[in-house]
Amino acid sequence: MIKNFSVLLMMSLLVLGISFVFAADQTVQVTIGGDVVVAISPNPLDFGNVLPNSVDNAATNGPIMFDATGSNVDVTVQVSSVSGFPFADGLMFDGEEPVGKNWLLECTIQNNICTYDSASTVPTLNVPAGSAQGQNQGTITYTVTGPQP
Amino acid sequence: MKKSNFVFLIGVLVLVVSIVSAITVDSRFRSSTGAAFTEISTLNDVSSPNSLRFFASQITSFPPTNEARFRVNFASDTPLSDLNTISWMQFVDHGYVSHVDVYIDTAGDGGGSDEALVFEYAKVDPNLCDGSSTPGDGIYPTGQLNTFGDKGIVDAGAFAWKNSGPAGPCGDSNFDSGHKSLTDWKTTFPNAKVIAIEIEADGWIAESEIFIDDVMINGELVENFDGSQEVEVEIVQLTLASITPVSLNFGSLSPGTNDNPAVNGPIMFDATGSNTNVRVEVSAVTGFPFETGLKLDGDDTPFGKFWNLDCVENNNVCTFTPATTVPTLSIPAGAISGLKTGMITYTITGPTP
Repeated sequence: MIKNFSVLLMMSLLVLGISFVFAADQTVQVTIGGDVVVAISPNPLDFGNVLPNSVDNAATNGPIMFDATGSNVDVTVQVSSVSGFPFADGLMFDGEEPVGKNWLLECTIQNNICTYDSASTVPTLNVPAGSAQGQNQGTITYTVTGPQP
Repeated sequence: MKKSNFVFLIGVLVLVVSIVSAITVDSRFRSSTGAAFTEISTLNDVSSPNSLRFFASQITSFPPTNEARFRVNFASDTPLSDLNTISWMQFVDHGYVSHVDVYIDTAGDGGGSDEALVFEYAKVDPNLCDGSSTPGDGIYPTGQLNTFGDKGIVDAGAFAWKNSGPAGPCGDSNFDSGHKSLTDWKTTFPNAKVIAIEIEADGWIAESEIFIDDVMINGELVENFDGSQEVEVEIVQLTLASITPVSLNFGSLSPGTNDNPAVNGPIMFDATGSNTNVRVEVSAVTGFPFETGLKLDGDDTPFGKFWNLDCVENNNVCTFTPATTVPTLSIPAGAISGLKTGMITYTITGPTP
């Protein structure tokens, strides 16, 4: 009888012990930093072969797409400069002077993950009369920013 | 001093230092010379999605140098004393690690760049010249590096050699006199202004392929190649020529008269709108009495006469100086009266391939 009582007592203590383990809570926390990633495509943007004294030449691989997938904040992309001939004076985005144009790529949260709709713009190129023959290269520089503090 | 006041003071000092050290970047360019190129790449980027790829073939004859470059131009009033650090990430696929040239106006008098300070892996640590493990071992790192990897970034203690002097070797008195730390160069040139920096890969030691990213000056990100897009176009050849007057008129003339001038001459040839050199040549003259009586600049054989209109480039646009010729007409004696019309035919050509 005493032996059986001892076994019961030990089982009770064991169950009590296990109960204590399962009842314990642990706090877990993380701070996820802001991240800004923007893919601008195509790169390079190519206008192919064009004639001097021609306007509104379409890019052969346009439009330009801006995609912030991978970021986790709202992102603004703004054209800060266009360099190189004939792009500095002849490049247009959606029919307008490109420098200063901007696009807002807003984070839409789905299951704690930001998703984005991509933005696009249609580039065209005006080429002045008498433009020297040959291959020309330029650079479009964008300023990519997250939300202002 | 109270702890809170001390912290506030430190904060103010940090703010002051950061204001004094501010660098204003004017512009950024990439370029290449010889058998070398740069291109935006999605390979080996550190900050997604792009890096800048340098490729330079080994230099086997000189000139030109084979160099791929990324240049950052500074605002004109940037003192050398404000330049504290330069760093960039680089993935050395093969060849020799990229280096940076700091272009300075030594007198700071606005006279433009007259010297360059070269910070390169082989010379940035004077105690480990031309090597990685021991001086002179000639072993240079590959793979992912922050600037010069185990030799650190460009900072106060980094050594540069003066480009106007010899490129080495360490221990040579001529070289050593122009091989100093950034701090010492600031002392040597107390009034110097920084014109630009150029991060370069070249082919002096070997063919080199390097991907750079996240260029920082004084700890501030200057370029990560993620916010730039290259744009290309091929402008094709266009050959145009205007010939005036369209109807050349000699008015009323008597038979048996020679060298009568046109009433609306001279003839003008203008290639404005073309983008190549243009040649205009008389290929035929038809109709009586023009076939036999027309002269151009007194030459009684207009057939074969030609004028070259050369493109002079001005801001990437061709400009042309028009050419002229003075036409005259002789009427043989006994020529039948009445209105006569003829035709001058020209052949217009661009440069032959």
